[in-house]
Amino acid sequence: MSGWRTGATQERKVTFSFDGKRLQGIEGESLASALIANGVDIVGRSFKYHRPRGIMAAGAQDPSGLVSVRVSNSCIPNLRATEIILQDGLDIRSQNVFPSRHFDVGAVLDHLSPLIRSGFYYKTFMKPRFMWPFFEKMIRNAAGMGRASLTEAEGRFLTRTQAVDVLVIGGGLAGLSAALHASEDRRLRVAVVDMNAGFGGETLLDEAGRAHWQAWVDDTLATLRSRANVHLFARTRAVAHHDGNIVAAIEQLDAIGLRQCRHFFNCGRVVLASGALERPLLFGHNDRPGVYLASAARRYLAEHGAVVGRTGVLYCNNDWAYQSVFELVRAGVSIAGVIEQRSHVPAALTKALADAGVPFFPDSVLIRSYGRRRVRGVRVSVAGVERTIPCDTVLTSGGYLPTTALFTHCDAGLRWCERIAAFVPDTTPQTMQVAGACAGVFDATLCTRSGQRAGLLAAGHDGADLPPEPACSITIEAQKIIDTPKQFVDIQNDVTVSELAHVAREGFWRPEHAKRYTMLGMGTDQGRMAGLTGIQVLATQTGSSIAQLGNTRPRPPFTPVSFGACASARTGEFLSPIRRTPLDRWHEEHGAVMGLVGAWRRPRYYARSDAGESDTIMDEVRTVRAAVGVTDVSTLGKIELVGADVPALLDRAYINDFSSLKVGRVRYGVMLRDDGIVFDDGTVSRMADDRWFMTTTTGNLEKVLQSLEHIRQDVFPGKDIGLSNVTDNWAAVAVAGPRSRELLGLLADAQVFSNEAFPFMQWRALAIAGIACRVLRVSFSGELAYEVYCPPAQAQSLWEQLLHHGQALCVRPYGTEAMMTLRIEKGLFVPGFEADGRTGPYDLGLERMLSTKKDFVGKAVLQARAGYRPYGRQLVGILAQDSRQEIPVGAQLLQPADTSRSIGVVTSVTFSPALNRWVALVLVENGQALIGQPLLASAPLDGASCPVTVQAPVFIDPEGVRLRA
Amino acid sequence: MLITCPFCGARPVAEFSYGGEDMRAAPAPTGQSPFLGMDATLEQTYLRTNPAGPHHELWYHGAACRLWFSLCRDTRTNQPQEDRS
Repeated sequence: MSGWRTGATQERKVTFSFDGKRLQGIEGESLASALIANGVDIVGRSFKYHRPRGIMAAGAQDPSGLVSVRVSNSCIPNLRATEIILQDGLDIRSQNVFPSRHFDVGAVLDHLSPLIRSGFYYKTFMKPRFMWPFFEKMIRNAAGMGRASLTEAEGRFLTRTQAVDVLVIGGGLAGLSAALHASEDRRLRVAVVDMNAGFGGETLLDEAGRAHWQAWVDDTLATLRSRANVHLFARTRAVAHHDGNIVAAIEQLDAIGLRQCRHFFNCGRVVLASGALERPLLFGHNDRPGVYLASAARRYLAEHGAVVGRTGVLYCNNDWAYQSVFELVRAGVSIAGVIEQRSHVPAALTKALADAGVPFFPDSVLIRSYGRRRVRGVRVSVAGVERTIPCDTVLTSGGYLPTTALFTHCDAGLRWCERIAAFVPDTTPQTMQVAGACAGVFDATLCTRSGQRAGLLAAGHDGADLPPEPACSITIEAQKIIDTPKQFVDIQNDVTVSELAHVAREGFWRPEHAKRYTMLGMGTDQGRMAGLTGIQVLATQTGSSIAQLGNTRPRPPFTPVSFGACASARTGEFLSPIRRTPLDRWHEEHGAVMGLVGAWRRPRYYARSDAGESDTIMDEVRTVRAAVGVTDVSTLGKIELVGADVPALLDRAYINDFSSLKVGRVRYGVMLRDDGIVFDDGTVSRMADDRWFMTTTTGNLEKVLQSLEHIRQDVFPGKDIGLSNVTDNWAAVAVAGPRSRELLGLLADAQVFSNEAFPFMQWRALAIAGIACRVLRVSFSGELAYEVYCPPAQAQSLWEQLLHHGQALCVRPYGTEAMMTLRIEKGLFVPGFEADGRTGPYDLGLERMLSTKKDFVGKAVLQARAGYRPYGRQLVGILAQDSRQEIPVGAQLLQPADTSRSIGVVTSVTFSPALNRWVALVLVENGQALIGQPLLASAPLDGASCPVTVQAPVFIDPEGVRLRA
Repeated sequence: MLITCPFCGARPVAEFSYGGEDMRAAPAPTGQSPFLGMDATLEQTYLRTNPAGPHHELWYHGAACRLWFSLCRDTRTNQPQEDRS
């Protein structure tokens, strides 16, 4: 209980709860700030060792202040306390704690930490092997962070894409200066994004900075706001730089990130002015609540008067950190000492410390902190002599580190800069300028000049007579690392110095390896405080330098992006376009149970009050077999081809011959992929000498179009071939069953439907019920059947007249379920089931269709692989031996004599009303040779097993008598 | 990422389908591959050059003009390359 709040504030107070306790804060401040002001020390427990952790930094840098937020009946885990904006009634919970954050049983793991190094679980619990699933469950429960909620939170997300000529990332001095100069050309659209609520950056966080720069920032912002070509985005984090100079940014619109806008900026040029983050210094038990980054303490004080403690020490190796001491002293904090790694510091600073009455210890190191739930003191070595200083707060500062993540996203290189002991942007890509602290320029005046230069260059200035990039002379030293236990490099993932030394000895000394082995630099903070320190430890271990080892490569996103923001409005039924046929509303109104086939809604079956699902489907099947049924097949892909050279294209696309197809005829065709695998099937009708009408399966239209275009443009360039997608120009109804001829005869001239006038596999242009239609005599059920294509506007009229006039013939509509049963009984394969992307024409029994006279897509590979069948499976049928037993869906096929090995798989299964038992189509090794033999269809996961008999894959009417009736 | 269609100009990659390596620009099959029974056709079908660098490939502008075209892309940077072959 050391944090407090200074000053009488005029701002509105709000109430929130943390682990059920009611606390007060200021509206608009961060949760972290409010927790500090309320004296909350422990916010949660750590990932692996369950050590108590508090707030350590500000903004996206903080590794430890992770909490869950309850919203109505849902819970959002792993939110950063530093990024939650306080509002009335927030219900915050600590996470990874049991039973409470103050007393946690998992903390026993901390005492075992020397035993549970990286890889411990995998090394230890792998034997005996069958026990691993059990161990894994326990380990997963003990480790980890917040728990995801199973109920959906009510989020509101949207995506916005815009083009800008110049995007400035970071609204500090350099960024504002860049925007100011780039936007002088009013034709250029300039946008500035900054992750904080206000602009101005780090400079405004201390008294001296405000005195010098507040007026400049206010003036610049006023100018920018007055310009119509400038757009400012506060609370917007640039998270990724993509190819094509596209920057993704997340704008937070509420307290906890349930309302976000994801921006895509298509940028002409980018000015990266993302600034720098403070690095911590290592010491023993540096993760204890009460340890803060010096800059964070300054920020919490400056923003809403939250003071991190009563008595503090500063541990630093640079000049900036002192500013935090002066600010805290002014706020009334007692500073028990400044522990400085360097032996020499500017006299002005030591004098100011003496004036403030702060003890100064140059050439010193902090060895460790003491305390249980919060720091109570520190052990210090002052010029070689150890002593203890009581305090409740430790501020650390190892200087600033340029935030270069977005620079590396665009594959641009970094170089080691000895002056500031950091990697800085090296070769600047043409599309990106780097300015300010991000480029290693730390002096405020120089930052504005750096920004000016970058802004002008981004605006298209050719660089002539621009002052050169300012040379900053501020230096930063790499920290001294001592040998003491429990120095946490990566606070979020509990990675210590000794851990890194250990993995380096195990051979994982390269930074990218060490990262993956220990999780150094992973997690929600992406190791923002850890990365370079970790590499320094590895460099020390291996006797090399940081420059030699290099940085781990940051990848997008810079900070966590919620799935909600990625999905934006594309959730649920809005995930992808849904297509409806012209008859969709009729289906809906007549009890159809709809299902999705690709993007299309299709009726699965037409529900009835007097029968269950399977009975209804079987009734629909029986109707087609015994009388006549109608089904909506408008979803079939339809392509019209025109031109003298179309036969050449068709011959190339299909495995069978099409140049011989006469006007008035229809032919079935199969297409292969380049590698000889079956890809789609359909029919082609020749409308006229130079006109053809092609159908594809519902799901493959786009791919067929793509393939046909490829043949047209690549194989037959300059030939007379036109092709267009006419799928939406035609609705289609299949009329199937022995009485289908009778039914159509009622709606047109009955004579034209006679077998002689209109044989199987021909088409006619006919008026059906007065509607101009294309009628194809083709069948997908094995029955006498017709496909009737008509203009979409007349589809409902056609459909209703078919049903009305067919009443005496017992007509009824049927859905895709009945259609599947019908085609399985007839042994017809479909892409996705039998043609599963591994089956060739031989496997499906199509070898007689393969033309020997012409070249077609896939033929070369078929020939090259002649005699060689990688899977050797063949399409055959199976019948359940027991008429009451069900064949399991997706079952494996086994030889009764050898059940140890699967020889095939069930691809489509149905109950067959015609045979009154379960039947299935299967792909099985040497299937043809197995005809007549018994097999087992087994689904081990369900424990189901069904004895079956293999037979040819046509269960009804193998001679095709009904088809041609 | 933007792809430059010869007909429509630079457009978002989501409008295009990738058509694999342009084998016309790939080295001629040697028929010597030990994996594929030394068959030039299979080599042409299954073996790709997979370079880290300039890569000749086919793209299809399915969302707009339906043009198939070949371009050379540096696989390391996604930048279009001048055709150096």
